[in-house]
Amino acid sequence: MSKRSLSFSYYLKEFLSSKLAIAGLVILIILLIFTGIALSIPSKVYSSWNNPAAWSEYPEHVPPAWMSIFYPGKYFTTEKLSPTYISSMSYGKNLYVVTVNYQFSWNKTLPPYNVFFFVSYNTSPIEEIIYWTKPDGYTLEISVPSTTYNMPFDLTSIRTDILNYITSVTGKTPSLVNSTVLSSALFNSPKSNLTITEQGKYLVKIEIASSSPIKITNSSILLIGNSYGLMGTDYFGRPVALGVLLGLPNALEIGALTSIIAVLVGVFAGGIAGYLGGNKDSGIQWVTLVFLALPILPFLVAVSFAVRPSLTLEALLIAFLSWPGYAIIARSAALSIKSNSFVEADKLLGIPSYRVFFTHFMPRLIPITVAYMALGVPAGILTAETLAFLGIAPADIVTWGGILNSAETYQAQVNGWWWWVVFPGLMIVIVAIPFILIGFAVERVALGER
Amino acid sequence: MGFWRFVLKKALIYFSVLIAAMTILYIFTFPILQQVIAKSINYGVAQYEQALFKYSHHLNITQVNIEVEKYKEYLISAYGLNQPIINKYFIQMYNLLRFNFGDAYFLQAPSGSREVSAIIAYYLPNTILLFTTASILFIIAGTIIGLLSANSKFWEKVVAVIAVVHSSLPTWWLGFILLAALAYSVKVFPPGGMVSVPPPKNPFDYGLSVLDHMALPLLSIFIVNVGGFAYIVRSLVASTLKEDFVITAKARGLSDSRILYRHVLRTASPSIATQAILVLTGSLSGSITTEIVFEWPGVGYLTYLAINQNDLPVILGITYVLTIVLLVGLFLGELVYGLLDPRIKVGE
Repeated sequence: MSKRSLSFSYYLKEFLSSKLAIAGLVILIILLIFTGIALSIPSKVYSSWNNPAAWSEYPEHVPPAWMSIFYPGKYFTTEKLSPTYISSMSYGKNLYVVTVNYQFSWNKTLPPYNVFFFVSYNTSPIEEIIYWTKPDGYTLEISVPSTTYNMPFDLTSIRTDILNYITSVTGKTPSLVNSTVLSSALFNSPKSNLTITEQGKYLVKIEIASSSPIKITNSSILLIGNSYGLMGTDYFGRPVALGVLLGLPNALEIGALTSIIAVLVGVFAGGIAGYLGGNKDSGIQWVTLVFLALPILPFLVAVSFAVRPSLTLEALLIAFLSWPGYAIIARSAALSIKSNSFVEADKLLGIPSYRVFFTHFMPRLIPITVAYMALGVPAGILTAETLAFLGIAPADIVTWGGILNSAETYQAQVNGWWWWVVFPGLMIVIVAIPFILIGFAVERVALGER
Repeated sequence: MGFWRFVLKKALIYFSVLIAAMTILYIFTFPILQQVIAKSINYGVAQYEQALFKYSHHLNITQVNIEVEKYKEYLISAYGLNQPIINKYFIQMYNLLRFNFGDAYFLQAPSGSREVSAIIAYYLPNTILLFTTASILFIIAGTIIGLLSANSKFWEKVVAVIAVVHSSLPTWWLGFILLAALAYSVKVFPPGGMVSVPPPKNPFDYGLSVLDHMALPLLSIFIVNVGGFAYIVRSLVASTLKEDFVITAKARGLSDSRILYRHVLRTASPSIATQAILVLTGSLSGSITTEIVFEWPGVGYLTYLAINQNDLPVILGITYVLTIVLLVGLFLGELVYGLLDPRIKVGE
């Protein structure tokens, strides 16, 4: 080891010649790009994550959109409809009527998950009625309750008329009333007792009557799909892909912070212990053992009840408990450096021991320090996400562990909502891979081929 | 008797480490400890007051209040709240060493006891059963894989890849996936718990039922840890293979397997033992969290219950008990190391 050059450029060249390192760097750069994207998301999205009302327009616990590749016709995504034309009329002085007309064709074998109506205007209406015409020509008349005037509403807010319709067709009231049942009333053919979807052209007319002139400012219809985005949605309709993206920056931050602090402390303690030897070595080893004996998880849980941790504090606490592992490794590395003859030579030359330590000794520990800083990042992330899974995480951040915690709470494994479980956990693994690859590459360069 | 001196020395060191670790815990949990004690005093006082109203009809309200105040004073001095902080510390240490953690707020042991130590005493053996079995399995398998892969370049790469993938897997997430796949989609394994409900009467069937329920958590802990451990063993064995005595053994014409198992494994085993201890302390967090997913009634699951119910005394108790368990584990590891290292046996 003593014969080899210790220059930085030598290490860099060796490092970059390793395929592992290049692969690791490429993945890391991709992750950093995604981190950049996540950080550019407005903070409003972060704070609305835990507010179920913000996600009402999303389908709830539906699989990813790409499932339609494997099951064509069974899965489809949300469609947004714009009005084909808007006509307004006035009957005398005090009655103005506006109709918003939509037309769309539906060729799927299933009805949409839900239907959202958006109509906003400048006055308060007397009456708002939806005329829903099916391909066979039958028209269903639904009056909108006055409480939802001028507000976005879905099928459950206008359920009374639809339920009456279901009863008139099938002869019984459905025991379970949810958006899918209501939507199937609008889309299925009455001939089949509302079980088979009618394919063809649908006409939707929304008629608004008011005593003053009406101006429609905004109107559209959302036919909610039964699949969503890259990773589906969770129990509240939150897109899992968004949660995974929002969890990325804080995972990397906590991992990097933890690793840097723990490795620096550990290498310094272990290095000193190995270099000094004797009683001081035993003393430092004793301290190491004390911290090794503290179980990270329950300790952090207990402390988090005393102080609600911020991200930095959590990282500090994890580092505080995880440095002993690095100290043990650094100590054994230091012992092997100490056996080199240059340390002896320095002593004989009368160079003060602290100078030997800082100029000749510690620099030789830098390569393994860098290696363990990389290898320590996934460990830090894992601890933080495990804590979040237990329900302990800094407030107002989105964590993958937290997403998995709610998946566990809402029994995703029992209900078969696999996308809610698989993707956040997979991210913990994916984030770890570049750091481990880089760490292995650095370790190999530092120690030579083992 | 070099070994016994070694044991005694280590025992003393570990006891001092225990005290130091407890002190650190005490410092960090001081505010909640005060909160917990205050709460339990208030609870005791309220119960006493109720009892007085119920049974001592000869007392009027002022007298009852005086009695209650007296009782409160008594409790405060018993818990050492009116003492200077140094005395508080010693009282607490004394209580901890006697496993006296007070009463839980909400949780109960199946026996109905609300004492934290009784609750933990019910859950801890299950954790030890699961964790020890899993650890023994992955340490043995990891050592064998590490030894077998030491000589071949191809297996070195395979083990490295497995180590990379495995060490970054969260144990509880893997458990989650295994549970969803093998217990709910394909119903091969039971979906959680420790025995089937109702538990079988026959002890043999009972044991089988526990094994059946243990299979998936065991599998997840095993998969996550075996790769990393095999990698460590491989690198330790590979560096031992470069030693001179291996070349000598080869020159003497000994077979490869004999050299590997008799000579190399023997020499490398103390360092393997040290690494095994480190790996064990590292895998504890993941393993106890896995219990939550499988509803395995161990301390990890208890922690989860306690967090959800804000049951502070239980959380504190678990932290203290796990510290002791970890230290006992480390101590046993040291003893194994002492048995394996011939230098300690002869007392060098």
